[in-house]
Formats: sequence, structure tokens, C-alpha cells
Amino acid sequence: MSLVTLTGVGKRYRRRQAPAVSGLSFTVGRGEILALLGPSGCGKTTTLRLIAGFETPDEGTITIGDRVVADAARAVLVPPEERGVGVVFQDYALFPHLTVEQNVAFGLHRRARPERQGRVAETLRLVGLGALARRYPHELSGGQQQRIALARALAPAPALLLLDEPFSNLDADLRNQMREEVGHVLRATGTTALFVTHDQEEAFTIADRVGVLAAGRLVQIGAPEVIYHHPATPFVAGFVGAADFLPGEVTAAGIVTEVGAFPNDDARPAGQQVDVMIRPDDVTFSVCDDGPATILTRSFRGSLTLYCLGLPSGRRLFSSQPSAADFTPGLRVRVDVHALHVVTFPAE
Amino acid sequence: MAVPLLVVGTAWRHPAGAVWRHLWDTQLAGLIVNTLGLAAAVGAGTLAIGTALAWLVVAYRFPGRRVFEWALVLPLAVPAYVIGFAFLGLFDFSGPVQSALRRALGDEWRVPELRSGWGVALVMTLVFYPYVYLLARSAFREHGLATLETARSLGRSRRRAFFGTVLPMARPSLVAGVSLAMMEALADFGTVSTFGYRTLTEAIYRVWHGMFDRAAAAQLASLLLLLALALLGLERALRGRRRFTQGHRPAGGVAGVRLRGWRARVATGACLAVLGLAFVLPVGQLLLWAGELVGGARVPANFGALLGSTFALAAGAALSICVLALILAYAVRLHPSPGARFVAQFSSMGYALPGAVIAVGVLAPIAWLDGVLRDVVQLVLGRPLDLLLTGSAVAVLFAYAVRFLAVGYQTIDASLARVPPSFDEAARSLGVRLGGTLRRVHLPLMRGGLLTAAILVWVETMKELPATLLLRPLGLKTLAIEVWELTSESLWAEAALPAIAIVLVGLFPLMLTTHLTNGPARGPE
Repeated sequence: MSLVTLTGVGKRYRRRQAPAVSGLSFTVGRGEILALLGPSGCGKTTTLRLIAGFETPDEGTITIGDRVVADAARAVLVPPEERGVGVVFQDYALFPHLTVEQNVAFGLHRRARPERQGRVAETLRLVGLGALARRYPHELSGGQQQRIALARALAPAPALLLLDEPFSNLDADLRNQMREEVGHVLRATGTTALFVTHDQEEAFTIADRVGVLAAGRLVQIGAPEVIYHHPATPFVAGFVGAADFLPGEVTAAGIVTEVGAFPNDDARPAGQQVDVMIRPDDVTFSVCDDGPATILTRSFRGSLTLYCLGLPSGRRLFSSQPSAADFTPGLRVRVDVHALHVVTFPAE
Repeated sequence: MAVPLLVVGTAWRHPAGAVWRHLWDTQLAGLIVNTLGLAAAVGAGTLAIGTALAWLVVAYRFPGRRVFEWALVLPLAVPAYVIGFAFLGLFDFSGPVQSALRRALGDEWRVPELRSGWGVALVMTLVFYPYVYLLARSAFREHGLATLETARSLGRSRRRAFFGTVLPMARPSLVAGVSLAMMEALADFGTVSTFGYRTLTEAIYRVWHGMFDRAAAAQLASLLLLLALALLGLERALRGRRRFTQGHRPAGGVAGVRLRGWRARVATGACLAVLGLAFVLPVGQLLLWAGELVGGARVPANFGALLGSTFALAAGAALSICVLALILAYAVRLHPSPGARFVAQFSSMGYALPGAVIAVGVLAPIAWLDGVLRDVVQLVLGRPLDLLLTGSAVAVLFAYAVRFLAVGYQTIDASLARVPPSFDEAARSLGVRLGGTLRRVHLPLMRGGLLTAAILVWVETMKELPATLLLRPLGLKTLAIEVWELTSESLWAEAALPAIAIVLVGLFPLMLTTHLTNGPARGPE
């Protein structure tokens, strides 16, 4: 049962310029958390703003619940204040002249006073900031402001919550913590949420499903594991994690590359030339004096160390290894690739 | 806002009347020469004094510098016609200066006549130099000392670095300041009429009130409008071609050079002389006169009523202009189309228009509206109606709106621009409509800006003379008009009381703005 449906939605800001988004169609299920993932300028924020009602689509329809909120063909446009959609902004947009309490109560203006107070207290408890009700936003830390922004958006119990790069203003430690907390709050309240990010780790941690956008188009949408292990295009493969591509030929014995043969999982016809996706975590190597490959560079990443291996053909392959062992560049090695999911793309 | 401009601009459609032909034959060339000459003299004078004082205060340390830094702005609080008549009183044949000179040097001594072009130019230079001073000071503060250091590290002498680098970099600010001063000189009516110096503004008034020839007045106004627009265009051309902005390098750590000995005395003396002539002396004289009046219990009985009507009129103007400016700024925020921006910019142009021009331009549309109203009333009630708007406060308020909308708009627009657009979206996503967003988010956040705008407009309208004089309802008097009427009869002492009231009110926004502009600049000291 889907809550939000986009059908063929397009938006162009300036004539003679490429559209910000085009032909966008997807749904968000009730209670689902969907992440829109993509590089900056791919149209993900525009999508969010179209659903919120801050922008008007040039084509297509947007449905929330059983109500068409935007239909370009029939000039239907429901203003943002009537869509019942909560938004958490990148800069939080907390009103500086109002206390935490008044900020959270801002969207409850149509309710009776006792109900309003009860709802504010309840929402503040939910985000764990009941004690700060009388503070002003500037007296709060970044993480606290983030939680107030979430509480304010959740207070009117919106059917749908939109989050625009919600964690980008936080430092790394806090970001991890807030991801978990926000995910927890969303699930605890059963809120349907759509959030926008350029950080694939963020998308994978919180979302039930991830949609990848590139140049205004939805390239792939699916569960995080599917996106990661079975990317639909080389772009998705490269965006959601580091990936190298090695040329191979489909034979009866599988797909033969210079680092060995892989099972033909995609059932490609024999004789076809393909590129095989290989992720650094699938690549291992052993030191061997007459090994065909050489360690070119080594870059220490903390718990993992990333090695760049030079293959006989001159191509390079990255391998990430636990930092427990250490290999110096220049060593000759034998390369082993153990891909659980073999992903291939037809060669260009 | 465009209507008055159009009215004045199309004044030439009416055939030139006898008054106009008479003017043309006898005075017009002289009027134009006088007006242009005055503007040029004031421009040169303010450029020299304003720039020199600003550089002195920014680049050097000398006794009293900190006080002069803000005190040199004070003359801006006093309308030129007030300083003007104080000077006339001071240097009158029977005034304190000439009397003292005669006692000391005998009856043969003659002071140069102040009621001349040079006298007017001197007074206006003393009153308007703060425009140049303020803009030059902030330009010098922003990049002057750092630039000087860079130039000197590249082997330039201090003098060559100043004239070759610092001054050209400050040019946009200097041009803006000088053109403000020249616009004020063009627009001035009170001073020239007190000094009996013939310029276009003064001629507009004479033709309007003395000869009742509105068409000729409109034609004179269009000439003045042309001069003002030419000045505006010149300013844009000189300023807009190049932009001298660079990464803001805070002047912290770059201290001015400490002056010692006679140099320090000259610096202090120069500041003291300008401030004394432009502010202390005239305002002191006003205070003396006003003191005599109060001490002798000769305060006019209607003074309270005069204050009341002036304040009320100015308050009405402040309120209506702020509402108008808010609507305009909000419209541009909601629909930021090029068209909306143009409308906003265009309606702010009135500030460059002399009050006399606006008065002439406002009268025609008001009279037309009156005609329409009369016809409507005639139709509905079946009996004629007296002129309702012409000669009413509405006409005066309309003129104020044309002239001072820019003051309110710029302040309000700036404070609205500080509210991030995400606030509007946050409010609307929380189910609050446009009106509610304005009331619950924008207005509380803009309170300071709105108050500042209202005060600035209130004070400006209170000082306004020509438009008020030409359009006022019968019997309505403001402080400015009272001052003008009394001084035109050389009743200096009697004029001092309303003049002092204007000065006191004028100091108010000055304190407000110096407080604002001095705040961040205090850092490096």
C-alpha cells in the first residue's frame, strides 16, 4: 500500500537548460523509509521540494494518500500548507525568536491549548529533549537543534516526513549517533519518510529502500543490498562503493578475465565481451615471488589498508585488507577475487 | 510612484504661458547657472573636506580623534536651512560677530556678504560634507590602511601611495558621497530662499505661489528633474564601470600613525574648526536664542500644538510608508521576478527627486482623483462635493511616500533578506498560510528593521520643507514651515525654538545609525 506516488514528474527551472528532473516515477510505501541518493545537482532536492509543494512540476502527477497534490496536465496544485507533509531542513530553519517549546508548537495552531501542550511534551520526550523546552535555538548544540527540527516536523503527526540532507551539518561522530536516533524515532512512530543524501553509507544505514538519481533521472531503486551488490549501471556501481571493472569474455566455463574465471550469473550469451565489476573488499592477494601482479601503492585508512595492484595488462585493481598485516609496495603478489555476486555490464 | 514623474516629464505638452515666456526672457539662464554652480561648488567643497577629514580620522592618531570620529557626522542631523539662518543671524549686521568686529576695528570694517552664492555654498558644504565623510571613512577603514601598507612595502612613498592607490580605490564611495551632497544641494529650498539666492527650487515656489501658474511651475520642475536625473546617471557611470571590491581584509593590527607636536595640533584644530563652524557654533547660537525665549517666557502659545501636528503628520507618513515598503518587499520575496524587482527599484528612485518636483508631480494626479470623486459623489448623492484630497494631508502624505519610500524600503528589504527562505518553507510545511507566516515569523524577526525604518522616515519627513510647503492643507503648520516663515521675516530668535526641536529629533536616528555602524568597526581599536 503506497502513500506517495510520483508518475512521470518533470521540472525545468530555466528554458533551454537541462531539466532538473524528468520522467520521475516511484512510490513510497506506508511506514517505509526511502532514501534518494545521488551526487550534488542530480535533482534529489528538487524531487523533495516538488513533493513538499515548494516547487511546481512541469509534467506528471504527484499523489499523497488518495489525494492528487500536483497534476501538471490539469493544473492541480495543492499549496504546501495543505499537504500535511513535514519537512526537516538542511539548516534546520528553527525560528530564532521562539523557544524550543514554541518552535515545536508552531504547526499545532489549529489544536486546542491543552491538546497542544500535551503533544509538545510528548514529541519533546520522543527526541529526548523535554528538559530544554524553554531554551532558545541558539542556546542548543548542533545535535540538539537537529532533534528539535525533527520534533517540530513530527509534532503535527504528518503522514509523510521529508528530510533534506539532515545530517550534513553535523560532525562525523554526531552524525553516526543522530542517524541511529532519527532512524529509531521514525520507526517508533511508524512515520513514512523520504530523505535525500549524497552519502551512500547514510542511505544504507537508515533506509528500507534506496533510489539512485543521476542527471535528473531515477537510475535504480531497491533494497540497499540490491543496490550495492547488483547495481543496474556502472554509474550506480561506482557511486555506492568503490569498484574496478575488468574486461572479460563469456565462455562455456564462465567469464574469463586476467585474474581468473567468474560464474556467468547474469546468463550472458557465450562470446560476449563484458566488464566485470570487482569491489576492493572482494580482492585478496598473497605474496609470491613469481606472482604476476605488483603492489603499486599502499594507503592506510585506519582499520583497513587500501592497496593498488598493478596487473600484467597494466590495469589496476584495488584491494582493501585488514591493517593487521602490512605489505610494502614493490612486492610481487598473486591476486584472488572471491565475488559473492558477479556483476557484469556489456562492454562499451 | 511613476505618476508624479510622468506628470512632470510631460509638462511640456501644455503650451508655454506668459509667465514662462517672461521667465525665459529674463531669468531662466541665470537660474540654471545658479543651480548648477551651487551644486558644483558644494560637490567640490564636500569632496575636499569630507575626504580629508575621513583620511585624517582613519590613518592618524591625534588628541580627540575618537570623539571627532563620530562627532564629525553631527551636522547631518541639522537641516541646511537651520544652519543657514543661524549663520545669517550670527553674521547679521546687528549680529554678535559684526557687532564685535565693529567694536574692535571701527565702523569701516565690512564682513563679506553672506547672502550670496558663496555664502549658500559654504553653508551647504558645512552641512553636507558628512555624506562624503561617512562613505569615505568606511571605504578607508575597509581597505585603506591595508592598501597603504601593501603599496609602501612595494616602495611607494606615503603620499604617492595615498594619491596613487588608496584614493582611486575609494572612488566609488567618494562618487556616491559627493553625488548625495550635490543632490541635496539641487533639492534644497529652505536655505536658498532664506539667503535670497535664486535657484530652480526657489523659482518653482515663486511661480507656484506668487503667480499661480502651475504649468510654468511644472516646466521648471521638469528642468530640475532633468538635472537630478543627469546627476544620477553621472553617478552610475562613474561608479558602476569598475568594482573595487576585494576579499575583506580586516584592518586589525594596522594602527594609524601617531601625530606629534604641531602636526597633532593642526589635525585637532582642523577637526575642531569644521565641527565648530558646522555644528557647535550654529547650534549654540540656536540654544542661546531659544534660551532667551524660554527665559523671557515668550514661548508662543501654539508651540505645543505645532509639535503635535508635526509629530502626527510625520507619524502618519512613517506608518504608511513602512506598510507600503513592507508590501513591496514581501511581494518581491514571494515572486522574485525581474518585473517585481524593477518596480521596487523604480519606486525607490523618488529619493533622488527634489521635494519641489515631487510636489508639482503629485498635485495633478490628486486633482484628477478629486475630480473623479466629485463626479461619483454627484452621481450617488446628487449634490456637489468640495475638493476632498487637494490641499489635504493625503496629498502631503502621497508626496512623502514618493520621496521617502526608498528610506523605508531599503531598511525593510535588508531586514527581510536576513530571514532565510527556508523559514518561509518551514512555516508553510507546518500548515501555516502566507498571512500567518508573515505575522508569526517575518514580523517578529523584522521588528528591529521595521522600527529603524519608521524612525528614519519619521525624522526625514519632519525635516522636509518644499513639498510640505507647496501641498499642505490650509492652516497646517509643521516645525519646518514655522522655521521657514519666521526666518523669511528675519525673526531669528523666534525661529530658534522650532529649529532646536528639529535638531533634537534629527540627532535621534544619527545615534541609532552610528551605534549600528560603529559596532563592528570598534573591533580593531
